[in-house]
Amino acid sequence: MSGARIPDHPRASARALRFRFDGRELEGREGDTLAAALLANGVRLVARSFKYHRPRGIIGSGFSETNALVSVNGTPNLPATRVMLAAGLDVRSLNRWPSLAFDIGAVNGLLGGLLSAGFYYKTFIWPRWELFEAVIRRAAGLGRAPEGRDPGRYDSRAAACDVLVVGGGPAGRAAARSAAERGADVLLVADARGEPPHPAVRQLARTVALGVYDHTLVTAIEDVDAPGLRQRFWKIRANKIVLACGAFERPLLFENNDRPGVMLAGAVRDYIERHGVAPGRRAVFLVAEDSGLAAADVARAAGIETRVFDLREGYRPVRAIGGKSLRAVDVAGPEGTARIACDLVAMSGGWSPAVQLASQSGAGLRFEPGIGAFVSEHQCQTVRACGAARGVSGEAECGADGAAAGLWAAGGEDMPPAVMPVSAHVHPLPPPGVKAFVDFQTDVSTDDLRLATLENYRSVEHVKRYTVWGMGVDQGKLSAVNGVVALAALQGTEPGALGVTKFRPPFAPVAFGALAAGHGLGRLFHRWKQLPAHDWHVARGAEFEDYGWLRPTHYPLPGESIEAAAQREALAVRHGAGLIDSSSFGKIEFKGPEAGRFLDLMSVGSPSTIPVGRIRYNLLTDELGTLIDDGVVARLAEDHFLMTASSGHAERVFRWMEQWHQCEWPLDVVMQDVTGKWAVLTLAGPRARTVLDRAQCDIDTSAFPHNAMRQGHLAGAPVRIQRVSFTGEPSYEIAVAADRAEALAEWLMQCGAAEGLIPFGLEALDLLRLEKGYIHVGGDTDSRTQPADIGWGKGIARKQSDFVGKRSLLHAASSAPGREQLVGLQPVDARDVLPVGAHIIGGKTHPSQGIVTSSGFSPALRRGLSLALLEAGQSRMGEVLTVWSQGRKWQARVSPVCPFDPQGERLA
Amino acid sequence: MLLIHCPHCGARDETEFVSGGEAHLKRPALDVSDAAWADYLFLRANPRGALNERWHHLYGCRRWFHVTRDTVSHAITAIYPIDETPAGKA
Repeated sequence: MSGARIPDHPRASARALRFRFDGRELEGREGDTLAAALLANGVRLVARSFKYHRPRGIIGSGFSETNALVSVNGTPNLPATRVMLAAGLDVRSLNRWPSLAFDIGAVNGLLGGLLSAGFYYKTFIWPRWELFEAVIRRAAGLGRAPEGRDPGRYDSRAAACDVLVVGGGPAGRAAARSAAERGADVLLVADARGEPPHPAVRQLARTVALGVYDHTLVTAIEDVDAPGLRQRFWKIRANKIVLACGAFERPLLFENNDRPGVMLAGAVRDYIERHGVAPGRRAVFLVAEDSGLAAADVARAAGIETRVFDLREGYRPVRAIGGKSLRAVDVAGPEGTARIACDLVAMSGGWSPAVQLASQSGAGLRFEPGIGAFVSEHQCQTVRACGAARGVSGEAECGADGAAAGLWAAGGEDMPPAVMPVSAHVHPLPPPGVKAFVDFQTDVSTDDLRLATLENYRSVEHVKRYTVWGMGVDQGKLSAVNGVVALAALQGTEPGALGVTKFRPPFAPVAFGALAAGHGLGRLFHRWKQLPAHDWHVARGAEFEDYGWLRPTHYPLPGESIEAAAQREALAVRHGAGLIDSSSFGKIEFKGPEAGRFLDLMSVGSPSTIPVGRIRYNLLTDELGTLIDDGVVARLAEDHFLMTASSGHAERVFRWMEQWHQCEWPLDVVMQDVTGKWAVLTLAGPRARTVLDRAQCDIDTSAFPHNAMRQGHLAGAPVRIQRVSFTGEPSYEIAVAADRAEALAEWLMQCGAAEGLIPFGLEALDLLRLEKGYIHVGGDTDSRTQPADIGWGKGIARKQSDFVGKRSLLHAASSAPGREQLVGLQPVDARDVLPVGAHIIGGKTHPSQGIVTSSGFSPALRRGLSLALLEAGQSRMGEVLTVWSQGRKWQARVSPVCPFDPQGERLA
Repeated sequence: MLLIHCPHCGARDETEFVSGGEAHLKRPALDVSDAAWADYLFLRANPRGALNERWHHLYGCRRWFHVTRDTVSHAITAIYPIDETPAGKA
């Protein structure tokens, strides 16, 4: 066992916490990260890699952990370096089967020569990728997605500030302090806990910024880990943003640089200093930068046997020796290659500024040879990077740079340019044929980049997608610079000429549950609108469906199917009377001296010519002449109209009216959507009038013709009653204040008991309207259907004045032969019901010459009926056509859209 | 996410608004040619840079107004009433 607690470190005496790793009981200390606790227990092998199932340990100590991905209490893919240890954690390694130490998938590693970049795409194209996908995903996937609900609870909050500082290191704290001292309202987002750097600074501790969006919006995730709350998702709007995100240490490229025990030098120092854990006993430091030398000094002082090779003096790692744990490393130098026994390799390839958020904010990225990495260039007036995030090194220097950023953010002078070293060490590319990893998490090696180059991939964005370099958990933190430098060497160009791939949110992995917080989940995700009389329908035994509004589909008798209930209810309406809740229909009132003129501009018809007290069917089109909705317009007074809209289109229609009124025709009219204010209960059927007469209604039904509207009182309540019909039966649409809906429904049912009045639902209504050929715009019409295509061409010809869509309807294309037109379709075998969406086949220009748009079995006619859109349909009455759906065929005859009571005698 | 200063309600997140696309399209009269009508229906300037747009504060005051937005940087440089042009009252 290697690795241990450093006895005189304060952590060694912290409270002990028990946890499990792959079933083994282990002990850590309060304050440990999971990674620190594993190292303290001598655990080296933590995971298996993505593609080759190579053994992997812990490489880093913070965000840039690409190897030690674990599942914690069932949540997969968490970097062990980012999980705070808690008592009872159940930790499992990923990507191993049957066990971590003996992993069958590791045979992929032996086949590594085959599993090169693009291998899956090249090999599994024939015959179908889907056939292989399940097997490949299991072998090469990450952790399993949990099957149950996320047990964690998440919250969502918004905040605003003058200055947002991202990063709680020396630069970030200095920036926050400096801006606060100048009176700015500062919010500091810091990963660590600790006191704010200034009393006036608001601080979000244990919080990670995830993304920067337009107009300086930043999202962040706060770890709360309280019993009732796991994380809190923040949306922060700032006037200015200071990015003090620090830098990532670069790994070195050499054979087997992924073996457990090969770590970043800064991480080794971090484990020793912060956690009191020595990650090894015999360490070899391979450093290209002074911070690596400092880390080696720390290791030596902690009692670790330490050898240091400075790459700037001509040394170079060749390969790591060992499998599940490290045994030695081969180092080439001026005096030849030596094999040095060790259990820890600490590598320091230099530091790459964390430019992810800067890149998202729109800043350009420039390769800076002095540090061998990309730095951000901020053109905009709202974002600046400071400290290590813009290539500055040294704690004091970062603090000074942060203070300058804080001054800028508080409205002072802009920051001076950062001082850069002259040149950074350039690390040579390993030879072909060895596994030297650029992106550890997705198993992309220098050979994969070599292959991509050979296959002529040039753009970094293309290489990224071909090799999956930088596409996983890493998101370029460790791999971006090494990959670009390697590609530049392979292509014979400069890294700066290649550039780096675009960075996207999130900066660190985040649970879907956290992103969804505040949006409403489960039943609240899509909020149902309930009818005013909802509870009454429930009491009547209604079944409901979500049509935007939750509406009754039918009121089944015990044991009755939905089809049988629909037939029974429809027949009851045809022979007696039914009651249906029509409250969800849109109701828009227009009032003003120019209300009629405005409606004429918006409608295919001319509502301004409707007499007071009368109602007319009305169509709306858009500027293309396409039908967008139908409904009726009633005239309540000379200057007062009421328009109905389909339930599903109501909100859109109101928006449409407002848009044209505000933007194009600001006439003297006001409009209001009163849909929710009125409940509408419709009495329909030959006995409907009798029911109404019994209901203490002061409106004279003997002088109340079809397509008329009356206002009066019913059982003492003010009502508006419209005589219009969507069933083909005499119908009274009774509108009453929404809070009286249930009482009115109950009262009408009492009054109609002797007439056999029943409540009926949408399924029966759909059969009744189908028998009458009444359409649903959007169901029986599509994005090309115009008024003439549903038989309303004459209205356009009669109307002289302009209206929305008229110019398009005058275009030759609107009267071209062969347009799809609405027709009835009657199956030759009366028992058949054609599937909605079935094609009418046998077309001349295209195999399909139309589609079935509505279907049902007519209870009145005892046969299947359909509506269809058919090429030149209105001139093809009587033709027998073939209808096709999913391999089945039917014969059906083209017929008028209204086969039941075509003259409308029942409505009189 | 854009921060849009509604002239009636103040600064609000983009999620409260609906974009109505390019502004100041001139709706032609009925006797316009087919080609000119098609231009009105389908052709937009789609510039790289400043664009005058209509926006609607749907989840707010429900008023339409004009926004000048840079299509590259998303910077909003002007907001003015629906009955005005960038030069002033129409």
